[in-house]
Amino acid sequence: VSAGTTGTVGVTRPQTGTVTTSRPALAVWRDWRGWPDSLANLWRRSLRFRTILVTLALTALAILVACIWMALAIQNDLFQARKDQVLADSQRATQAAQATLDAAAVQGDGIQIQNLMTSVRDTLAERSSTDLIAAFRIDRTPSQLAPQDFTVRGLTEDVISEGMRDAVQSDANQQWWQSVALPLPGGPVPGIIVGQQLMVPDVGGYELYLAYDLGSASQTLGFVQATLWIVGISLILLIGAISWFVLRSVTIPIGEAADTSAKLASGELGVRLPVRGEDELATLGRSFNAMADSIESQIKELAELSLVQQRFVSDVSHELRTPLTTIRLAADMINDQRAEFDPSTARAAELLNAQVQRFETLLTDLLEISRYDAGSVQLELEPTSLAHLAEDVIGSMHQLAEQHGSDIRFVAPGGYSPVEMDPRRVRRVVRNLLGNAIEHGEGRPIVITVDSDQQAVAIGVRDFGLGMKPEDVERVFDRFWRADPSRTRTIGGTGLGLSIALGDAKLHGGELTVWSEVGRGSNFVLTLPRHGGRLTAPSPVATDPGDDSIAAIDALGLTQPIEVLSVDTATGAAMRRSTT
Amino acid sequence: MTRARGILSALVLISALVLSACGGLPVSGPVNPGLAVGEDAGSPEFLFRPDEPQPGATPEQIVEGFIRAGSGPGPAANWEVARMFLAPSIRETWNPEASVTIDLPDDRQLVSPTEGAVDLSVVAVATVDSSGAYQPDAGVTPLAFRLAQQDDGEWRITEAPDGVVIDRDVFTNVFHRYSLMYFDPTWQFLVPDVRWFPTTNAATRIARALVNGAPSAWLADSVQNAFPESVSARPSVPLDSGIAQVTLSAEALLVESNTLDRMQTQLDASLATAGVAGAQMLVASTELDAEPVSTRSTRVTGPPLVLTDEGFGFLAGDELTPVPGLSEAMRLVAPASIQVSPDRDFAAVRLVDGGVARVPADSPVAVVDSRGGLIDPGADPFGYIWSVPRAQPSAITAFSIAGQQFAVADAWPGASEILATAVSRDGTRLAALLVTGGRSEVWIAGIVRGSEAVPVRLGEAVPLGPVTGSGSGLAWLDDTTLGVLSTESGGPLFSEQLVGGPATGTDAPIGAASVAGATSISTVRLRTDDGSLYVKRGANWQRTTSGILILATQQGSPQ
Repeated sequence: VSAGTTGTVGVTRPQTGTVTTSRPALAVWRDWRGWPDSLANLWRRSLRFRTILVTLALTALAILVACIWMALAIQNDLFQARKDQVLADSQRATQAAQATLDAAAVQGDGIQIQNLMTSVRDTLAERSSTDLIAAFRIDRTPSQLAPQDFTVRGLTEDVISEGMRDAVQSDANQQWWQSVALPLPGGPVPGIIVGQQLMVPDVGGYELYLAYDLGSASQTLGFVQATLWIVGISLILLIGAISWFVLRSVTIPIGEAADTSAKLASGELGVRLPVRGEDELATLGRSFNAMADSIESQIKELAELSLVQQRFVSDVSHELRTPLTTIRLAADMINDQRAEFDPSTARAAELLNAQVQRFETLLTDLLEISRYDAGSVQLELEPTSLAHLAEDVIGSMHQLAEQHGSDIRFVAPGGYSPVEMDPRRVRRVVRNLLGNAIEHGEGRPIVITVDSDQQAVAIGVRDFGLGMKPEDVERVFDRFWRADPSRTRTIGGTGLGLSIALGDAKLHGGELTVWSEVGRGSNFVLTLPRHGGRLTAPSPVATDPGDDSIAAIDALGLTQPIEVLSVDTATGAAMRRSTT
Repeated sequence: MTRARGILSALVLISALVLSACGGLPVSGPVNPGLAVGEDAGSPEFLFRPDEPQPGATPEQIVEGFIRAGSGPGPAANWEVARMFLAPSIRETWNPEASVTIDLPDDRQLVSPTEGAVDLSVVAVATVDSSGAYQPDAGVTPLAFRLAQQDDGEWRITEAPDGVVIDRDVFTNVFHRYSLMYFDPTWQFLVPDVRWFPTTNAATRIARALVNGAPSAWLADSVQNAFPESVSARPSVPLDSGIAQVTLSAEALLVESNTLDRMQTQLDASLATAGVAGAQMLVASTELDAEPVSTRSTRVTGPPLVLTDEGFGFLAGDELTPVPGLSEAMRLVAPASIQVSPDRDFAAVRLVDGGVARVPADSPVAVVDSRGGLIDPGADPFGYIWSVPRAQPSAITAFSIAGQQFAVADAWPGASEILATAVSRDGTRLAALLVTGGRSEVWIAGIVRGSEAVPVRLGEAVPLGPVTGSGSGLAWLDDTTLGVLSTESGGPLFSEQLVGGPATGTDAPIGAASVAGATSISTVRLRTDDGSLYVKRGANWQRTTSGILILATQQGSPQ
């Protein structure tokens, strides 16, 4: 089982991919649902967008990490410093107060102790940098001597946690501290509360708490953090802007190079890149320009060479025509009198006549080809029905088909309406295709299909002959190429027929495609656009016949028209069998 | 799935970090240990640690233990251990510092008339009152205790007299001697008033007694206190790098600077006796600006002042350095005793013939008192010569430079004989060796002066202590100590009698006749009747020279 191959010969347009920084229209951005697609598109197509995005992301990550680290470090350091300060301050004040108490000699006088406690409170307020002081007697048993607990507004027992009080009560030789929110008049502020014991003579231990307001440190921290984040965000924006500008200076020349390449590829050989400076881009520009120069000069050279050859062929053909006409007249004359010659001479005259005719045909084809090559062919368009045209051709070749034992079956679901075309050339193409089919059809049926749609009309010629190998299919339109040189030509083919047919198709803006498979035969499809212009849609007749078989064709029967139920075209389905 | 979870957790972590990095200072957190509390200033170097009450002790044992615990004021000087013997009802109200009874430990007697009552009788040697003043007080003192069994079955004291009882031998370990310094009426001299306080927070007690208290009653009319009545001190005087911080009441701000300076002087001098380098007066942590004023020293200088065959002068080695003026004048008289005034401008001399004469350095000798039976006269810093007949202790007469004589009233009521008398060097106190009821006793009284330092009367006389045997000589060794010479059957005795404290006695050389103070209290000089001069070296007497006719006493040195 060999794979089918479809060779498509059509008008190939140069692929012009653009690397320009596409500036999407605002309308695209207004529709937020389209954002992901637009962004993905940008990511895929814009080097600058992608690079900036990656740069921004990585920069943002780095700055984020740095900012977090710095913010945490500053916060920690600020807090530690303030905490140490607070602890030292508290210790100093407490030691001063304790020294006063230790030095006291109150001799069990309650009033003296109360006075002493008052003076200790003053000492604490003076020696410490806070006014938030509270003291609670640890031993709650009633005492006539014990000075009363004292506290200030703002440092209530709510602020001092149970854990703190337990810790202070448990250890007389240790300071304890805790972070708290101090309910100051302006709202809660972060603070540190420091607790320790104070030994009052004759009375016993008191819990002493000093609370310190860290509001100013907090403000400093807030300011530093805000600065940090502002600087971080500014840095990100700045780096984004910088990379945008830097990339712009790289991508714009690249875009220009891409556009210029595209123009060059589409045939504008005169375009060149502007070269500025000495850098890599300038080198690229110079290299590109050198390449363009080289290509331009070679193409011009080739074009001139081609022109010379065309002119040569044209001139040779033309020059050969005059003597050939004379030879032809002479050969005709000799041929007309062959009855008078002996049999061998009569045979020679007959051969001469046939070869002279063939020579003339060849010469005509060569002239035609050279006209195509010179681009001097003019179409003579008139509305023509491709189906009727195909019928005519089938009629004219009927006899030849019969000689080869081939049935020609004509299937035309559409293609009756007239289409602007040059009927002479189209008829030549169809005749050529049909001739080939008859020649290579091995006596099997040949199916001619005509169909149309809104864009185009097409005719397919399907034979069930030997078929071709894939490498042969690729060369089938080459001039003077023959699929099997050993096979004799029974129809006066010159080897230029398919080349001319392809030229005709292109001249109409259509295409001529071929499908062939060894053992299954070949299928040639000619597709012509309806309104001049170019072909955009697939042909109405598929080049690849799919899984058809000759048996199916035979099963259709031979004598009666068959009504086809499926309605594919506006003209109605009709299948006619044509046998003559 | 795993990858998505990883990305999610990374995002959560990052946002947590960002949030914490944006956050402020913590407003809550665990309780953390801070700095260790510094060591306290230091407790007294030496403390008795009495036994605590034992479980199941009898009432007698409880009372005994309570009395013994009197020797242990504890680090805070609140007699914690003693309070353990008390029932909770009086544990707080019992005042240990109301008085101190100094007794002889062997003479304590306990009787328990009924269950729950214990009577203790102690033989007191002296008492110290709540102001720290020491009074010799011989006699049996009864102390009544009531006890009750507590809920736990232990006996505890429910009624106890205020104050503690301390064994005489232990007293000076528990209580130390400090001097409150007052001014004499002319603001020239600092006059010490000896007090006894527990060693704990001595600076506080001194400052409080000086500022809030008053001089001892017998001295009150003879001295002046710069601290006004209205000013009081906080009962806590902490030391800040060796300087006592004395916080005064706000009234101190109204005191004029002259007085402030004197207050500062008194404080400095008083606290110096507790080893405090200085004092800073404060009003609510504002330092008061005061400079101590200069006061006259009462120290006597170097070599002994003697009369020998060669004449009158200071004897340094074998060299006799004459006193300008006085040495010449002394040749004109026949002295039996000599006391030289602080300025060495005159001497009070008892003549061999019995009269008392003023021997000035630059004017003729004047016999000022010719009464019969006069004892050795004294000279005070204001130019007065104090003279009294031996048989009439109350007939003290002071003679001024101008020759006026002033009878000093209220002198020594109840004394039958006066053996010796000595005016303190600052001129504020008069000590006397009196015979009352057949016993020699040392008494002291303040000298109350009128205008221009004229002696008017003596203040309330107080006994300082008995003299063993019969007294023969009396001299001030320094501002708070008297040297007393006495004779008993075993031989002569020398005792140092503290003014406001106990006396310590030692044997004196045979034939000790007169005593004189010297540079320091440890170098007392004695003259024996054979003319030898002895100097006290530690506990012994060392003979230094001989041929001394008279050992003169000095009242100070010229400024």
